[in-house]
Amino acid sequence: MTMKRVALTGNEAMALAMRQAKPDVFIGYPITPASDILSAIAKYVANGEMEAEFMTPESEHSVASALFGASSAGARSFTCTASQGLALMHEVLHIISGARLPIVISSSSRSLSSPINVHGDHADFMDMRDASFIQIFSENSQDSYDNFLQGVKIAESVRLPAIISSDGFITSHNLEPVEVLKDDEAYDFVGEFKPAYSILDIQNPITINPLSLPDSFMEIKKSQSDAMAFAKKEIIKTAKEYQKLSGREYGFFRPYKLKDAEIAIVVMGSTAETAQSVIDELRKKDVKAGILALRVFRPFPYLKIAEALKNCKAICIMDRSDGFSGHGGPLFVETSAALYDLKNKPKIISRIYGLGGREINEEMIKSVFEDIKKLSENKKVERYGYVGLKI
Amino acid sequence: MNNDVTEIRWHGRGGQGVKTASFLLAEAMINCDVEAQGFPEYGPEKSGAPVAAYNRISKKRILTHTGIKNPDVVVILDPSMISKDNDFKNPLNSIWNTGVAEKTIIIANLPRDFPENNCSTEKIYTIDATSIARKLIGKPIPNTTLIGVLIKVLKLDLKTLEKSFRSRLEKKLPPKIVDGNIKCIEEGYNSA
Repeated sequence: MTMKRVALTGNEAMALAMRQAKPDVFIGYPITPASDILSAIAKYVANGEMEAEFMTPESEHSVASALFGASSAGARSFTCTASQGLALMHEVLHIISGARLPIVISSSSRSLSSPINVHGDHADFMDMRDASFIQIFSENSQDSYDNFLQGVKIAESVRLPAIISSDGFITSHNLEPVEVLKDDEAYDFVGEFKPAYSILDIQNPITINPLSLPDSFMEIKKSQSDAMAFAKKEIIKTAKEYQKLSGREYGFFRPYKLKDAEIAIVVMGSTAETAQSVIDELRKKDVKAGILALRVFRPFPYLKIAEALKNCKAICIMDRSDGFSGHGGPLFVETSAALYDLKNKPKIISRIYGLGGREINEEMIKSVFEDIKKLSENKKVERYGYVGLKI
Repeated sequence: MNNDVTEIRWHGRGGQGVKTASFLLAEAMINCDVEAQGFPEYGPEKSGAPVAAYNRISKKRILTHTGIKNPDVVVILDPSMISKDNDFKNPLNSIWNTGVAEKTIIIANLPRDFPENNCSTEKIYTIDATSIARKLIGKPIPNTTLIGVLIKVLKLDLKTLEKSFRSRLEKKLPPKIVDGNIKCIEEGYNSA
């Protein structure tokens, strides 16, 4: 195994991983901030570096529909999208997962309209949390590359679709060092796609996406639910295999000084890295602070999260989208449920940050830790609030 | 936050190669086994609108993913962003002088003098990068000349970086324009 160190943006890293996984079909429609992925793929195809059937239909709804057809025929099928594009696919996303087609989407997460805003937040990613996709989030360009290769393998092994995303612009447009595998090493890791069924196999005819009435619908949904639960095993198995190949460690989340932490944040994406220097500073002042940087959002690793946070006194769950539950961000709601069975439950607060590309910096993260500290000392702190607000 | 990191902020207008400058530098540093980031700040993506881009360079892995508030170096690509009265406090200058401290180095594309006594910084380098670019590449795109100045100011080795610059430029530009840009870098380097 030889790794090559190159300069890549998050989008370029994702496009490279997509090429190395050798899809049979790539169907896409451009949208900021994921357009660079599509143009990189178009270039690969034009230069003969990628043999995929390349299609650009008239909308993202058509992209998802065409992917459904391609995957039903047994083709390894990818796309890239974000924000309104992902939202326009929404109806078909449920049909893809219900039909158990392992399509893989690469995404650079962005806010949802209205008002119109092209910048990064997690609203599009969270909007699809009931779509039965395996959902993985990256902290940097290296993660984007590694997560995509692993995502394809996981999706195809449990026959569920997957989305691999990173912070729009912050990661997708940041040029940084990435260690990449050789083409054949990457492909050998992902392996050949062996579809369970193909609509083109006329010797063994099948029906795809049939009518299923009350006599059978629930059994089909139960098997889909079981597949998502089973994906947890595959995610860890795949991470271990990838570690052997790359030397880089992956799990459901990346802990930072969490083992003995009394106060901590739960956060997803690039902010988890930015927060590390805040932790280092707090540690110098003997404050036992830590980070749980979530990587896998679906399936949600409830038990592992509870285990990792059980000794904390107070936690803030930081969400880069509101979710509009009126109670706390989507990650807050899920993490709260994870902690419910703990004997000694940590105190928790929800903080919303970085919407529509609003800067999230060390000072802001420090202010969050000041709130968690107060909370741990039984002082009164706002339960559900925004960070970096101008009003 | 971290003193081991050199932070550079580029200011200019859409079309002057602000993003390209930060990407050229980041890639060249990464190819020299140094840790680096290069990223633009996106606003309304229009030709002529003020744009900024950033670089971080470090021996250690860079984990910060924010814009740069207190830069070590500011590079100004557009002379119209600098007030003619040379008054550092003139509101026009606020585009680039935010967070500029005494130790901040300023590199400006300016066809005239920029009296240092009106600024709070100690080191100012001015160069008529637009004219140099017109002469060497036939286009008023000042980014590569300013990269040359920056390399000299940061005491980096031009010869090692030049290969990376060339290979990145070759992906998008015809050979004649690539050669012109490399000459721009050299002229900037030699004049600083």
